[in-house]
Amino acid sequence: MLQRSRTSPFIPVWIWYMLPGLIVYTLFMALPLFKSLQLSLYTGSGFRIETFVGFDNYRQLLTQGDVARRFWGAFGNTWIFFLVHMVVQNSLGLLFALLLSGEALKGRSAYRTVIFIPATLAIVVTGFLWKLLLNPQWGAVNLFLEMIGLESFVQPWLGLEGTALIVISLVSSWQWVGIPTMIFLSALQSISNDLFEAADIDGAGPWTTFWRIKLPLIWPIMGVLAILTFTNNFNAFDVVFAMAGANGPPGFSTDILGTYFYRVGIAGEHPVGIPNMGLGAAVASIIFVVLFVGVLLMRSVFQSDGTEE
Amino acid sequence: MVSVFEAMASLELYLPDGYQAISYNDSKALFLLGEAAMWFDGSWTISEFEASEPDFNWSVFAPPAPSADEQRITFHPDAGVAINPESDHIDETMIFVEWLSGSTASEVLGNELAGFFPMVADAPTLTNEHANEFLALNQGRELDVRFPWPKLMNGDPSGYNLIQQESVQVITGEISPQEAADRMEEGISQWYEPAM
Repeated sequence: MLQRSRTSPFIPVWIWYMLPGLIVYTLFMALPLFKSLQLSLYTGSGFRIETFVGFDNYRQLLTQGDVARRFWGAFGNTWIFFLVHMVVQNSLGLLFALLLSGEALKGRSAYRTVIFIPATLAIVVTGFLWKLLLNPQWGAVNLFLEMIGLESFVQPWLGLEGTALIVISLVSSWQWVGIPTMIFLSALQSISNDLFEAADIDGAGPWTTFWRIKLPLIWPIMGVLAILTFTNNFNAFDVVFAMAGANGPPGFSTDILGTYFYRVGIAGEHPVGIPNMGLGAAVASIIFVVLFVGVLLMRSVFQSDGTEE
Repeated sequence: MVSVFEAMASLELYLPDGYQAISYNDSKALFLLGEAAMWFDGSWTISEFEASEPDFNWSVFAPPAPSADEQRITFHPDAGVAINPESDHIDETMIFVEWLSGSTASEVLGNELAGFFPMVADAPTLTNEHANEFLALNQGRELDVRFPWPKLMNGDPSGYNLIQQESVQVITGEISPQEAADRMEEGISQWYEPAM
């Protein structure tokens, strides 16, 4: 029989253990989220957002002139930013994890440290560092390209609409590659050695072992990583802000939902600087919906595929 | 407007390699290091130059005007002083404002904040050499403000953002000066009544 609380026979004891968490969560997560959804239905100027306009903010964002052009531009760029992380950061993470989990590798912990160090640095630091490295006048990247005879590849990387966003995504991937590496590594190390021995006896080479044993067993971990990458990068702001600022230069090519939200809802457009908080809240609500739906979809993909066979 | 953008586009030849990714501060460094012969900026940088490179030898000239008879210089009022009419201490505040616009305060301000000029009835004599060079540019020219400021800032898209975007694209050669001027007009006429 369940133990009942002394004060009331109908309230189970465990409710008291949940209560502090519930209060904090409600006060600092659920309530602000609800208020932000509510704010997205209002308009006004400065701090007085009192005129109810229904879904007008959303209509503006999705369909109206320059506002919609900026929003969809930022929306598309956010997908590019996310996909570069998914492809480059997570593939490299898997590759590094496979190499680090190999028996033959010497100095494993040194490599592991080197791969993880960037993830411990502040984003403002890595952003500034890479801005210096990529500088067209004195940057090491272009000097290096010239040194190895690839002068034709020398570019003002952060100043061209075609390269700026990709380069920033790569810098961010460089910084965070240690996280998927560590997660994949621990997943690979938790696979029982019996399986590898059995595969060895059956005559499976390293390639077959990877496809038939390692990959299926770390598939659920990939799902977790995909969701982490998705939520982190759809919310991204810091690395772009550190390297390109909040105005999406050049020509809004580095404008992602995070910087667009910051410009519209918090800082206001330079140099007037009066934010449109209702519109900003609408951007935030759309980010929330995209994340919510995206995570649900990804969960179903990785769960159903992971349990097959 | 077309000729303004044409003048801007003509500068591309003289910009350094990789100028697309050279920031404001980078360009300042290039000029201070002697890597750039000329640099566009305003008087507000005087004190920064003097602080970081006291021995740096430089001066200033006005960009050439299209016609010699009609020359203007941008002398932009960046900050003003006001008193809240609801205040309980209007008389006391008046004393402060009178002092602030008087000769002593404006002399201190103009000399200590070299490159910022007190716009008062009897302007002080400044001691900073570079500040006086800037001030001398006003001689024989009409004064003007940055043109989007008075009327073209309060709509979306703002004149400030438009001229910034179109200037960049004209210099990088993505659009012609005519296209830039058309886009400028199209943007402004969305909300500024006299342009509709």
